[in-house]
Amino acid sequence: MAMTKLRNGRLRNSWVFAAALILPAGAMAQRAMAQGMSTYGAPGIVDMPSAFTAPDGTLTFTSSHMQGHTRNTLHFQITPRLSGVFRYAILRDYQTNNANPDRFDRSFDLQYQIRAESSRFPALAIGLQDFGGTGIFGAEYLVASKHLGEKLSVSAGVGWGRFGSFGGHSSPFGQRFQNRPVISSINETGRVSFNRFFRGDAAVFAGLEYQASDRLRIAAEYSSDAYVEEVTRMGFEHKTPINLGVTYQTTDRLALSGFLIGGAQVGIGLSYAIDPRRPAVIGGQERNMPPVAPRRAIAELGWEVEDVDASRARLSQALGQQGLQLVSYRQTGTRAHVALTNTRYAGSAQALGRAARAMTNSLPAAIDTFEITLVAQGMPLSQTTFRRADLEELEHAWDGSWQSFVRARIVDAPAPLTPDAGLYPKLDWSLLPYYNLSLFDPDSPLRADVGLEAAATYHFTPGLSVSGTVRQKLLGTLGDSTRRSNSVLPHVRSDQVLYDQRTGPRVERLTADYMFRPAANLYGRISAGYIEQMYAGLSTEILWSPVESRLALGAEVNYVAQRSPDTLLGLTDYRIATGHASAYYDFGNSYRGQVDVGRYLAGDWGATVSLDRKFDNGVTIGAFFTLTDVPFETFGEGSFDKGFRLTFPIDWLTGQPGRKAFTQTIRPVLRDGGARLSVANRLYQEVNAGNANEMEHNWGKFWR
Amino acid sequence: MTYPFRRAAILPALMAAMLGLTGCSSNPDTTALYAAALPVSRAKPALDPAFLAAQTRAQKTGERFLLTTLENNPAQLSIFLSQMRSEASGVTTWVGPGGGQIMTQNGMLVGTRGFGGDILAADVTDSEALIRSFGSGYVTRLMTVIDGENHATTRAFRCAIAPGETQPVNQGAIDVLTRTVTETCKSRGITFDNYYWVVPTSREIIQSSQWAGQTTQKISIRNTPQS
Repeated sequence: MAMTKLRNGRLRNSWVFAAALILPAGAMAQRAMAQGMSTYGAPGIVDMPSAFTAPDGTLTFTSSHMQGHTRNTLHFQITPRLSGVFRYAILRDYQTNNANPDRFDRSFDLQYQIRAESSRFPALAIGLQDFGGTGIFGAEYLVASKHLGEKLSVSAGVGWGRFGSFGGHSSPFGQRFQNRPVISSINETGRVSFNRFFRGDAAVFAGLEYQASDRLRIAAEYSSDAYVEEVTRMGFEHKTPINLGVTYQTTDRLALSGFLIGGAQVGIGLSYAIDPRRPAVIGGQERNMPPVAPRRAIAELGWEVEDVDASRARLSQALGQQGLQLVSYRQTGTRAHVALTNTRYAGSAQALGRAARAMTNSLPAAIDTFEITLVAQGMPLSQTTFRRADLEELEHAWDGSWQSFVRARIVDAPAPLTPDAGLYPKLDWSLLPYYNLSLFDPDSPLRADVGLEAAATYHFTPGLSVSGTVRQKLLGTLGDSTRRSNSVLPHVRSDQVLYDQRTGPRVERLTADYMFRPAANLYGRISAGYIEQMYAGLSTEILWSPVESRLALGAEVNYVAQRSPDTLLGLTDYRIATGHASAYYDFGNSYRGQVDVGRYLAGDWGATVSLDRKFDNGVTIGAFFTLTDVPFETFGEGSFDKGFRLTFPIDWLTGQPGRKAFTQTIRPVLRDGGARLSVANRLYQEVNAGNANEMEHNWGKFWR
Repeated sequence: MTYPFRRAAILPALMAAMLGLTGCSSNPDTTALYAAALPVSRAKPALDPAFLAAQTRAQKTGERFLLTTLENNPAQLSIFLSQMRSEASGVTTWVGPGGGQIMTQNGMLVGTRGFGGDILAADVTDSEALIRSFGSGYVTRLMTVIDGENHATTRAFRCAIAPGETQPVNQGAIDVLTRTVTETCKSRGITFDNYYWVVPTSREIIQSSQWAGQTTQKISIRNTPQS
C-alpha cells in the first residue's frame, strides 16, 4: 500500500496526459539552435553577450578565428536560465618572453538570466566571463535584451574587466571598487577571483541583431572591448568600437559566421548545436517487439504447467531473442520467478517490458503472475511483479505506459541467486577497437591513440569473476609529448605521459571481483589485482541504495600501489590507502548530484562535488570540482582539480539498442591533487539500473 | 634510426588486422553493433523472423494482409502480415519484412513500432464510431507518442469528421465501392488530415491514409482480400 502511494505521488514529474505538451511556438526568449552565438561562444551579438538564452539542455560548440586568435567554446544551457561555458583559446605570438610564443588559455564562464523577456520588459542577465582562469578574457557584465517585432532585437549593457576596457568610466560603485587585481603567476590561475568581480572601470556596450531571413542574421554592435593585450602583443588594430557580424544557418544544427572586429580584423566561425532531446531516432528503431499472446491462444497450445523444464527452455529461447539472458526460472503455483541479465537495452524498463511479453508467449496459460528479477554483475537488483491480466489489458491502452508502472510492484531482491544448471561457469570475451584522447598540451592541443582492446571475464558463480583487459596501441600521438610533470605532490596522475609511452601491450585491468548482496538495500564489492592503468591493490566498497529511494550512500576503502610505467606488471614503492564516503542524489527533472568525501591518491583529504544533467535517454553532461587540504600554490597550475564530462549512449547516436556509451572527461589541467582511483565496476553505476526512480524516468520504453 | 621504419612496415598489417578482427565478442549484440558501424561489406539483411513466421501461417490460412506505403516515400510498398490479435482490446498487430510493426483496431491505426517517433497507443473509439457510421461532427482522439527523452507523452486532438463522395477501391480482381470520410485533427502545433475509404454495407475500412506521428507522418494502408 505504501509503495503505491509513493509512486502515485511521483507521477507528477513524469506523465503528461489529456493535455497537449508543446513547446510554445515562437517563444521570444528562445533562439534558433546554433544561431545567435557570439565569438565567445555564448548567446550574443558579435563579441558582446546578450540576455537571450539557448534552448534548455542544448550543448553548442563554437569556434571563431581571426588573425591568430582562436576561441573554441563549449556552451551548455544548464537550466533554462543558467548557462556555463568552457573555452579553450589559442593566441599566437601572444607571449613575448617565453620559449613558446603562443598562449593556450582555458576559461570558464557562467551566465544567469535574472529575468526572462516579456511583452513589455526586456530580458536581463548577469554574467561572469573567465571567472576562474588566467584572466585573459576576464569580464563581468549586466545586459538587457529585447525583441522589437519579429526580426529585430536590441541589447545594451554594462561591462567590467575586458568589457570595460573601451570608453570606460571609473567604477560606478565608488573608489573602493576601483582596484582590479591582476593575476601575476601561473600558480594563481584556476581560482575563482571573487576579489576581482565587478571592479575597475565600467563601460557601456550595445548592439542590434537583424534576422534578414530564416537563415541569415546580421549583427552590429558598439563594443566596450578595446582588445588592449591583442593590440600590444599580437599586432591587432582597434580603429573603431563598431563590430559587424553575419551568420548563416546551413542546417538546423550548424551555423557559419563571418565578422569584423575593431574595423581591422576579419574572422570566420562556426557553431554546432546538439539538443540532447533529439536522438538519431526518436524512441529508438529497435525491432522484434513481441506482442502479448492472449491467454486463450496459449491455452490451445496445450503446454503443461508441471513441465517446468519445457517452460524454461521456451522462455530461455524467447528471452535470448530479446537480448536478455535467463539466469534462473522457478515456478510456485501460478507464479513464475525469472532472474535475467539485460545485455541489450540501455533502460531497464524496456528490458522488463520485453521480458514480460516474452513470458506471455512462452509460459503455460495457467501462469498468471510474473516476477522478474534484474541481475547485474551477478547481483540480483530488484524484482518487478506483473500480472498477466494487466499486461493483456494495458498493452494497447492509451494510458498503458503509466498504468503499467503504477500496477507493477517493484521491491528489493537481496536473496542470493540460484542459477539454472549449465549457466555457470561461463566466459565472456571481446576484441574491440579503442581510442584515447588527450587535450590541451600546448605542443599539440589534441592528441589521440587508437588500438585494439582484448577483454575477457570468467564468471565462476554469480558475482565471483576474474576479468582482464589488454590494450595494444596501433597508432597515436599520446606518447609523443615531451612535457614532464613539475608537480611537488607525489606524481599520482601527472605522469600520464610515461604510461602512454609504452608501445607494447598494456594490461589495463586484471582483477578478481566479488560483487554480492550483504543484506536488504545493501550491495558490496571486493576487487583485487591490477585495478587500473596506474594502480594495483585491493578495493572494497559498500553501497546502500533502497529500490524506491532517490538517495544512495556508499563507502569505499582501497589500498593500492602505483604501477611502474615501463613494465607490464611491476609496482613502484608508492603505497597509499585511499577511501571515500559518497552520497548520490537524483533531484528529478534530469539533475543528479554526487558528493565524495575522503582521502585521495596523493594522501590529500577533501571533497568532490559533481553535478550532472542526465537526460532520460542517457545523454549526460556534468561538471565537478575537488577541494582538498593541498594549498592552491602546492597544487600548481589550475589551483584545484575540476572538469566536466560528456556521455553519449550508443543508442542515442545510432537508434539501435545497446548498453555502451561514449564518455569523455575533460579537465583543463591534469595534476595530482584530488585524484581518485579509477574503478571499472563501482557499485552505483551498476546498481542504479534496478532503482524504481531510475526505471520510471524512461518507463515510456516499457511497451516499446 | 630503425623505429620509424619498423612502425611503417607493421602499420598496414595492423590496420588490416584491426578491420578484420574488430567488433568480435561473445555477446552477439556487440558484434552486430560494430559490424553495422564499420565500413565492411555485409550480407543483405535477412527478413525478420517474426515476418517469416507470419508468412508461413498466412500461406496456410490465406488470411488477409495489408499493403502499406509511407507518404514520405510512396514508391516503397510494404506488406504487413497479421502477427497477433489482442482479445482484451481487439487490436491486431501486423509485422513487416524489416521487423517494423503497426497496430490497427477495426482499420484505425493505433500504434507503430520501429518507425521512429512511434505511436505507443491511441484512443480513437469516438473517431471510429463516427467514421464507420458516416456521421459528421467533432470528436476527441488521444494519441500517446514516445518522445526524444523516452517519455510516453499523450496529446489530445480535436477532430472534425465529414463523409465525402463514393469511390471505387481496387481489391485484386474487382473494384469495391466505398465512401470516403475525412478526419481533420488539430492539436496545438500539429494538424493532420486522415482519409478513410469505408464499405457502406460492411462498414469496413478497407483503405486509409492515417497520421503515424511527427517523424513518420502519414501511412497509407490498403486491406487485401482473403485469397
